[in-house]
Amino acid sequence: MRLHGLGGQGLKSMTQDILAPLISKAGLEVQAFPFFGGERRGALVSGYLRCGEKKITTHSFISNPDMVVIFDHERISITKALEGLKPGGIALINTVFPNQFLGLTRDWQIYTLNARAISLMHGIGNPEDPYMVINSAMAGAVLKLLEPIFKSQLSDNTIKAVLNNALSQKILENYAALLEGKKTVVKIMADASAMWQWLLKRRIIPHLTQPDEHCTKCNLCYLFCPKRAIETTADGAYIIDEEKCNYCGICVTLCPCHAIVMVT
Amino acid sequence: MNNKLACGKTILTGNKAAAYGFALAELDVFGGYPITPSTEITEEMALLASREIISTTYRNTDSELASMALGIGVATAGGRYGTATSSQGLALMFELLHWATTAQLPLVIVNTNRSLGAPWSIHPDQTDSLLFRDLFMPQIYCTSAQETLDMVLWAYRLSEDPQVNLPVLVCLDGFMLSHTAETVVIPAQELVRKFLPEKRFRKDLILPEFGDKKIINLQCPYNWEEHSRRKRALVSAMQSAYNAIPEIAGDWFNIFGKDYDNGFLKISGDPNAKVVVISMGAIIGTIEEALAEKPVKVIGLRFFRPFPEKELRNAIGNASKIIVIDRSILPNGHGVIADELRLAGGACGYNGADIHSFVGGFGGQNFSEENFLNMLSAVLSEIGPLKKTYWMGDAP
Repeated sequence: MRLHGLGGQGLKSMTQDILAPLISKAGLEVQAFPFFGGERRGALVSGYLRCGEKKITTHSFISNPDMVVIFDHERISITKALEGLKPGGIALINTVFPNQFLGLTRDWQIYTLNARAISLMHGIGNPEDPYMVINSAMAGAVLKLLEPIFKSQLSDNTIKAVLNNALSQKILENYAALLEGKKTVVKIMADASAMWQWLLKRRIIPHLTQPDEHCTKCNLCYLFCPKRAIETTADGAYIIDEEKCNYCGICVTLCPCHAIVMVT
Repeated sequence: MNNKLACGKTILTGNKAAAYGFALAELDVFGGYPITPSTEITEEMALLASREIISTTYRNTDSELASMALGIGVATAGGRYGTATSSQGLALMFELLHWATTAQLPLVIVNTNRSLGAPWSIHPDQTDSLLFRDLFMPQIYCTSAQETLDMVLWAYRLSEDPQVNLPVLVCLDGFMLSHTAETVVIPAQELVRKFLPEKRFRKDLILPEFGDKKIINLQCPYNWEEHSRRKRALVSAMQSAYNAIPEIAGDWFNIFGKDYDNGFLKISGDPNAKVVVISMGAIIGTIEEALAEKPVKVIGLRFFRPFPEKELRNAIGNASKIIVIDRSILPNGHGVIADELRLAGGACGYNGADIHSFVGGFGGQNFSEENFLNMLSAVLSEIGPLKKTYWMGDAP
């Protein structure tokens, strides 16, 4: 597995302190190492992880991975990151807009999750920080994808113990984010898009309900709306502007209280 | 006494494994002056010491030179000392490192191999530690995180052998090993104590008690006769180190059950192969994996100093081709191991076999399995190098 991230996002600690011990506890041999360009926040960082039943002795980079993990697709070149990925291999991308990667599904299995939103939702990281730490959510997604090859499944207590070892603070928050990452990682499919096109053609256009009484004004929907369609009124309530909205559903996925619902 | 250290199977990076080696050796003092990529060792030691998991005294020093000075003090006073550094840091230690070797002071330095500038680089090759091959200082090169932990303990055992009393350098490749998390089994403290007993004082270095009227000078100027006696003593100390290594390997096997053979070499592959590949450090694992299906014997030098001339002869047997891969370069254009082999074998060959020398891996150049396969096919097809040095990655 090859991982691409930016300094500050927690790629190194995720591969070495969270994934490696967990994979080892799942009964596989494991090896994990990072590679740094510049040693600073925001610089490109890559990580390499090998696991399997055989003892691992090699100490070289991985040029033809079975799986690629991309922490940030805006500041990291997707084409470069996917270089050498085996045909049919898995790419896991942290993104707000999964559908932009539909073109890639021809050659590879593309999985996405919104790790940034998950981390923020669980009180990890500062939304102003472009290199915000998102590693626990990403770790959850990676574990989900590796689960089929594990020899023994990981119990919640094992995961908690490893996080306890790896982190100095916010252990419960990171645990929750990890579980959320595990739950929310989805495979994007060209077929799904075809269905979407068909839906549009048939003019069965979905619409969103306005935020209801469950809204806690956490601001996530506003922050992540790609169309700036969510506005606040003078008394602090959130309103979705139906004219600007393109029904991408991000606010629905993001909303921790299910205050917004998509109705078709 | 430190028995709060967790033991058993865990995941550690090479650096942390080295730190656990130090922790298990129950040092009296650890001197820290962090430098990339060995920083983690110093950090981990500071952490273990500050949380009182180990009873070592941790000291931040002003520089690598100061950390060697501290080591000379501690070792002279009969304490057990360790420090960790990399490349430029090791180079800065040189003056006092020479002093510590010639004064025969036992201590251990872990060097996380990193390219020595210029140009500036944080990535590994082996030029930094091989620069010190002319010192009376055993040098150990590790191939995995587990081996790093084990070798730190071996280093203390060798260093404090009453016939040896020399500083020992343990090298692990920066990033390739130092930052690679791997499975490591941390041995139990009780077993380590069996392998590495408490440090014994050297008879000729016993210091006067505090307040004693008798003042002694340990390293005062001598006439040439005493000076040359000391030089001869160094040569015999190095020979004693050579003799002690198989014994250490045997003890390790008896106590921990892990077989390091005679200690000097890591040999794998086809035992009757006509082609032998010799190298050192973390790339050994990559070479083994790349050439697993080929009729090739892979020899990794665990000890570079003392140079295992005899053991190499046995291991090479009647092979007809020796391929040497060096991650260092000498002014004559050859790699260090190849040069050493040619020196030991007289002129060009060694043990009657041709030496095909490759150099590369500078400043972190990655060697993939494919590189080694290309290298092998070039040598086997005879269109490749004969008696000269080729650069890895160049088309032969």
